[in-house]
Amino acid sequence: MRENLRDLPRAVRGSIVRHGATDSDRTRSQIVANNFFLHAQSARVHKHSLRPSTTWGLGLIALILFAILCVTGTLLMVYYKPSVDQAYDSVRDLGFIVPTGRMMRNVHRWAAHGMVLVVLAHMARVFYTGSYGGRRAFNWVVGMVLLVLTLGLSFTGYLLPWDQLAYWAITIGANIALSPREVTDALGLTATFDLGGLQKSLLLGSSTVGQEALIRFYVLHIVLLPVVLVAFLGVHFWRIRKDGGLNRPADAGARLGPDVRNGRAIFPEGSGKTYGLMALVRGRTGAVDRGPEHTVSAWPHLFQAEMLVLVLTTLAMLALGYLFDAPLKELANPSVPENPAKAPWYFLGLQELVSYSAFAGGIAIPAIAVLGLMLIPYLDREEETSGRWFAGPSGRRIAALSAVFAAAFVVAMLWFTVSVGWIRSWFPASPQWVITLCNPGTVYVVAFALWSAAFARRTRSTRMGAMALFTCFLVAFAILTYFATFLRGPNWDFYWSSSDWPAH
Amino acid sequence: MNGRGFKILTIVGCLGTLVFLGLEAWNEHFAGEWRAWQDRYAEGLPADLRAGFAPALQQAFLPDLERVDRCQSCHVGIDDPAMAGAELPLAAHPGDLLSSHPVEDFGCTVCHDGQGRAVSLPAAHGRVPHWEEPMLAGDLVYTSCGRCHAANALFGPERELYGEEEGGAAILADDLAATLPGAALLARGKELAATSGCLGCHTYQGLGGTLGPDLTHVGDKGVHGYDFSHLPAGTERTPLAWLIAHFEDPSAVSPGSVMPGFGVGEEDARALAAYMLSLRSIDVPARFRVPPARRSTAPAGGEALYGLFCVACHGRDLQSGAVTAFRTPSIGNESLLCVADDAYLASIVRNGRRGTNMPAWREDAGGLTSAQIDALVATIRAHAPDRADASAVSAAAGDPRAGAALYRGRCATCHGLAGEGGIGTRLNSPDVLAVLSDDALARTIVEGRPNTGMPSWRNLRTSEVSDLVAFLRSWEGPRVEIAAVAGRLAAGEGDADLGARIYAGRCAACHGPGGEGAIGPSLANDGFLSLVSDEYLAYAIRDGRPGTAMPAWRSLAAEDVGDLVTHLRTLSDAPRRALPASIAQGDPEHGELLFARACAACHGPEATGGSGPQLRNPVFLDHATDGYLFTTIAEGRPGTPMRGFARAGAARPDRPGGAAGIADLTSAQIADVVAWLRWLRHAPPPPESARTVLGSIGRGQEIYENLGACARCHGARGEGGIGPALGQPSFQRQTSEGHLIATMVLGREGTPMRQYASGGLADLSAPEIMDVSAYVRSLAYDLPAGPEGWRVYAETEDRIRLGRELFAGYCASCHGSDGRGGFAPELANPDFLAAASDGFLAATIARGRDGTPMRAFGPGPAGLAILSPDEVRAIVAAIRAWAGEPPPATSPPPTPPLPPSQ
Repeated sequence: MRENLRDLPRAVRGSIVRHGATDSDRTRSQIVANNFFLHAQSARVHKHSLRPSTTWGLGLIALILFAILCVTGTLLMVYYKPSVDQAYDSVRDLGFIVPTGRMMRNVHRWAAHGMVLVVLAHMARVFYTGSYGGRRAFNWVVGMVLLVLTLGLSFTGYLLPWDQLAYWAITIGANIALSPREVTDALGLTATFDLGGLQKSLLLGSSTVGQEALIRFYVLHIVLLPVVLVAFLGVHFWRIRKDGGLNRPADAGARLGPDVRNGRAIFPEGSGKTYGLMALVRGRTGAVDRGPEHTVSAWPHLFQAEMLVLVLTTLAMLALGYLFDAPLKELANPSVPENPAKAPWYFLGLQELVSYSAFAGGIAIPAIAVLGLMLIPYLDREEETSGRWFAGPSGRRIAALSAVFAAAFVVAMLWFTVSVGWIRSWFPASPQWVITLCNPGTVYVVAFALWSAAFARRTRSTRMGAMALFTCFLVAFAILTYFATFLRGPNWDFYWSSSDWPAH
Repeated sequence: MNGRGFKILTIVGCLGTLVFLGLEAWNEHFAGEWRAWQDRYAEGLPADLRAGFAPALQQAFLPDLERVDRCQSCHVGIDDPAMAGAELPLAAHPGDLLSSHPVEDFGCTVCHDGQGRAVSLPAAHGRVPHWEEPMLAGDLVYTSCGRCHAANALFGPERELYGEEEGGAAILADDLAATLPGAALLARGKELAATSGCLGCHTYQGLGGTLGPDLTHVGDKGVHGYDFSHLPAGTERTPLAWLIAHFEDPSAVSPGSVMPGFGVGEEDARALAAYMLSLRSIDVPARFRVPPARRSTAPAGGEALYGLFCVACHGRDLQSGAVTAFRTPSIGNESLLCVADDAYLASIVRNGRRGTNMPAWREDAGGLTSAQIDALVATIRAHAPDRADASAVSAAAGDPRAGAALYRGRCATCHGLAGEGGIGTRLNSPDVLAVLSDDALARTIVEGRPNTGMPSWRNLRTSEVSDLVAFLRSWEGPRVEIAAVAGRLAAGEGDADLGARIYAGRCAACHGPGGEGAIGPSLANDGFLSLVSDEYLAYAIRDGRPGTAMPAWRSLAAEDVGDLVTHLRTLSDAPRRALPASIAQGDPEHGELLFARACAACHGPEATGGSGPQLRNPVFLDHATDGYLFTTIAEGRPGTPMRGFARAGAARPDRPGGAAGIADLTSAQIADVVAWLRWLRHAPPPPESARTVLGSIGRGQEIYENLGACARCHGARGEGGIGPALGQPSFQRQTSEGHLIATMVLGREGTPMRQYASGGLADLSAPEIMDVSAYVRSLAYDLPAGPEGWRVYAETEDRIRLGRELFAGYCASCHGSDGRGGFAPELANPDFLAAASDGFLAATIARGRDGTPMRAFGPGPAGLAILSPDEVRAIVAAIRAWAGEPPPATSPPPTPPLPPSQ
């Protein structure tokens, strides 16, 4: 008994950690395999995957931000009251009297914006490294679902403070959901098939943003979307393992050079030495550079890097939360519209397109973009360049060229629409379907499609074509978002600076 | 990077994380401003209290008021008297307000605004972006009083619109000035609003016009509700600054606004702005509202209502208001107020005038009750008060030449330059003048005849009315000199035959063919004729008995009067008796008691007549000597119901107190009665209720409707038709029974009103005429409001066509084709036509409106005899034909009461 008592700490530790000192690759493998939280990762990891430039840790950062959001969000839930009468006051009180409430809310807010940004960056990384091909095609689709869920989480959380910013941003968002009506109206179908109205009332539960909308958004934000997101996250991670871990170029080993340990190569490159049993096995022998010599154990190489990313991300969020207060405007007032009323920043590019045509900008183009992104791995099946940033120097050139083209084109179009006008400026009576079909947004789509088709033909490479198209869309998204965020003023008019906005 | 680098970086990152967490923890627990202030406060506490003082966040949790105020966390000494005069924020609240408004019940922000939940300085005082209610500075904090005390007696519109509140004493301006000097600004603003006619255009709590924005909750309009783009550069962009600039010059700040500047100075503009900011819709529970707002049932003062609703457009002088953007008619125009009766004014106020800026003020529109509208009309009236006292008018005191000038200016357009009549009645007929007493003439001139073209000349002075009456009397010719009559009689020049013929024509209808008496007293009576002198008879013929059916026969020449007297003398051969020259002086008060007991049954309680003659008659009393009265009372008048009242053997006036006779009055008592009758000569006129109605109303109605066919012209209920409206209160007031009877007996020359007493198909006997008179008296009622009761002129197609042509020629250049308005007001306006009677229209056309471009179109003072009376009537008919849908009646028109059955 006494002995048992003395051994208690060791026994307890032993019951949890079932391996000895980390003095061998075996125990290092056990650390990973026997730990619930770590076993999603492989025990050994390729050195190429550990290079920062391979991923820049973006997926991990997104996960960490999600975790931070879950923690701070749970704490905020304790104080938040999802009722139009109390929501705003409870958010105000977070800043005034809830212990560390101000910090929690700030961190939650900045982490939410950061997550959207990082998820987008993560998508771009995966795309530009060509890591969506082959077995990974489905995981790319899962990633797209996660992107949409991330945007949904951020959007639903946007309403909860119930201030003017939230109210009118969600009103704009709800009106974007209403935009199919533009088409059904043009076709005269609205009376029988009102898709837009259905979407909006599903979203708001009422004709305007009110208590119904608030409780819907609350439930979506704290229960439904997180649960679904976690489920898809699980699939996402599981597929990474099942699809062969992180993608790397076919010649990753060669790029890393010989694995030198203790001053000499374990498996010298190009020695011509094989390990095949020639007499018994037909076919190719196991290649030398495919051996285990370019892998290292995940513990500690991978985990120390992940730990660093975790610490730095947390630090960044705490610093942001400490230094910058999350916005909170006046109490929502349905009778005083914000002018301009702007959607959350990641929808502002869309809002710019919506200002041309609600249906094209709000439904058609985003649907084309999301569907197009999902279909990429199925349309572009070239795997030769998979795992290499921009598929090599020529791809890098095409991406740069496309970026310049898209930037010039979008800026020119913006200049044109702002200072010259569009169809309605010259033919005020033009029917709506003309505008829906032909507006700056659709012009972008057509121009970018032609541009990438030209490259695909020229290079006879679907990968190059996809890269040109993706770059164009990414650049257009960035420029439109910037333009709508900073250069659009009251009545969605153009202003160089918000200091030029008319006094009101 | 090797493992060591990772470790160092990770540790540095962890340390950084801990630094931020630590900073936040420090802020949380030690950095609150309120802690420092509470420490300061604790230092000042006496030692025993200091030990028990634990610094803590303070808050007033006020779910009723939907707020949480944590101001006391810093203002920790706010309700501690010991902190009076201490530095802010530790100082106690100045004044005595917290005793009635304890912080734990009211919090702070309900009065001061600011952000009660915040606990750091700029945020708590609300001077941060995105907080719409920063703390109210200076006097402006008193605008918050209006949130709960809006209905207090102190405050503007409510003072007028709500009655004395129940429960809780009202705060009056004086109390306020003493206790809360700052609130005077707000009180001044409310007072200005209540006296500047703001509610003429703006609605407040459901009352008022709709041309301007509703003011009920105008203070709720946040920064977003204002357009600051027209403020002068350098002006603060706050609602207060906007409001002040707006009140100083509204159209500069809101271009296009028709709101005038009202000429308020900066201080008044500030007061008004403060009042506007106090009009908040804060949802205060009932327990905070003192006193409860309660709609008063008593009519508010007309002056106050005028100040609330009308003064902005119509001005304090009723001529022109501050709102210059509207063409507001001058309602103080005397010639309008002469022509417009109260019903006209009330109708315009009640229903407004569609198509103009005059709103309807009835209860379901502007929100005024009928009583309030009546009070308003009375206020308008009071601006043109009656100058003349009709009862003081005396033709004898008047100057006919001055009257002639007045007549030409005011009357000739309707009554004709020579009184021959036109739109108005013919006045130069001897019959008319004989029947109309001075009193009736004066009353008609002063009061007018509502709903006919006869204006009320209320702006004439008594002497001017006297002049006018004197001038009218001049058409009767000079009064016969009684001396001349007496001379002729003394010379025996009276011709009894001629007298008999005159008698038959003029007197027999009432006094009977043989002087046996009917409507008038019996003349062929020995007792009478033996007592009266020839002069007495001549006076009676010449001056009549004003107010009775006995006309003044001024149209008779001296010879005619002499002949008549001679004829009368033939009716009796009884010798003339000498009357006692004087009687004993009686006691009038005793006489009054005796009269009530013995005489009132026949002569009426006030001696105004009944079955017996009217004794309270100035002409009678002037010419009946004391001896005549004494003898008549003592001996009675054989052959009539008048019996002798003297005790037998005592009927000697020179021997008062003699023995009793068949009746029961002593000589002294008779002398008392005579003294009372004498006193009546100069007594004030009796109340109208003293009038005794003879005759049967039921029989009168029968005759009125059938035999006499009066209803054919005067309407079934006396509402008028071709003939005048007999039921009109003014007509009833202005005419005596005698007037009615005399008019029936004599008819009216030159009108369809014929003689009913003799000749013709429907001869009426004297009792029948009395019955009709009684019935006509019973018709007195207020005319139904609406065009039906006011129709004076028949509209025929021809007349309307003629009227349209005339209108196009004379009126359309100003009033627009089809009366749609132009330079002059719109006439084809349903609300206007519902209010204006035909008489109003005719009088305005004929007379014009002084002080406006509307000139007289009748034969007028300037001799501009353009339109004949018929043409004026045709134009009226044409205008009337435009009357469209009348405005909704607020109550069903009253039906004339049926006469009581007898």
